[in-house]
Amino acid sequence: MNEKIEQLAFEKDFSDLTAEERNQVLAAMPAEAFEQLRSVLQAARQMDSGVLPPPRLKAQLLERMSGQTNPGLLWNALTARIPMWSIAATMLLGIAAGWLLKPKSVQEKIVTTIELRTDTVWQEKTVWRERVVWRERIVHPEKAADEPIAFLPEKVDSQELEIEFTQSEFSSPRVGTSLGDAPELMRFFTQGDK
Amino acid sequence: MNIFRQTFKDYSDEALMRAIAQRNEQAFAVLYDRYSPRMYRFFFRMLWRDAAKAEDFTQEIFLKIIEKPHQFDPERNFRTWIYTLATNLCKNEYRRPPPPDMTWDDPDLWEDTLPEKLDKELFEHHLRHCIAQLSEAHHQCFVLRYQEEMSVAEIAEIVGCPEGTVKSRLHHALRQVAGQMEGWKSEKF
Repeated sequence: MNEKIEQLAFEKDFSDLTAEERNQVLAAMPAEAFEQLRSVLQAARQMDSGVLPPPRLKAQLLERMSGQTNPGLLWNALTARIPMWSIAATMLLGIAAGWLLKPKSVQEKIVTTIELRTDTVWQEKTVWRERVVWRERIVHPEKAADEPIAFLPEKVDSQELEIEFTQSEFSSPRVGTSLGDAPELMRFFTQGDK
Repeated sequence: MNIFRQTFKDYSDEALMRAIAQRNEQAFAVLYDRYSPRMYRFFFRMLWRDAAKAEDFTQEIFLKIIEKPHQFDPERNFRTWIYTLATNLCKNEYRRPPPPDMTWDDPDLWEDTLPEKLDKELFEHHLRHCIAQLSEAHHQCFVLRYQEEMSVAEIAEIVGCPEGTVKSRLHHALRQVAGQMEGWKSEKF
């Protein structure tokens, strides 16, 4: 029995063999022996072919995997499968939202202009005119005052300036000095020199 | 409309493992549905039809996928990788004495059984007995080739030996089993 015959017995019935294959088989063994061999191999293949593992085994294994591979929401979120179209749609939406919601920027444009300005210069000119004030005051003291009485101190003590004038002083003939006669007294009366 | 979204059921085994490495439970559920029947049947056949042991070993292999998904090289074929894990798990069990065979005195075998069905049951029972008597290496190759329907190249990668060695083991195993089954009436089941 060679490997070729064993292969044919595993794959085909005697009636399904080609003429050449049939000749090869018959050269090695009778047809009945080939059929016996094929029965053995078919029975071996079908033997226990319907046995299946119990359903609880899958549940136990999935539970084991779930307990071992549940690192948390963050990991699940990071490793979640996202369809390509969702990624593309989200990106387009983000770009559109960013373009629409972008704040309007104010562009400052520096413009150099030449502005003509007119300045008005006021020139103040003071024209002083000579001012002369003639005043004539007649002083009628009986005797010349020791001090000019044109200026009085700011605070006047009435008692200090109490001057008693007797009737005789006032009744005496007028004796005085005219400013025209004494121009040096002019400074007491004019402001023209300021 | 699923133009942009692909379900995990459309993923390859290697892509599912990448998703499982990122702690995706849906990907694990799809991979479990895809491979748990095969793994359970493999352990059931390799471990003398012990349902409890088959369930334990199936759970153990998927727990390895859950806890250490990074041990899988994405460049490698997932199917051969998981079967390599499974055969390595079975090696430790083969060091222990196998359970006693089911005898002809088993009442479940005779009770309320039609003759045609009895023939089939007897045939399968004897076939099981013959396969179980194979050595560990021959038993592995026989189960992987004729019951799990894997190619010689895949078996070579799983057991870690050249393809020529795998072919030799398969030839020896089939000759032993066929020789012991000689005389049993061949029926098309």
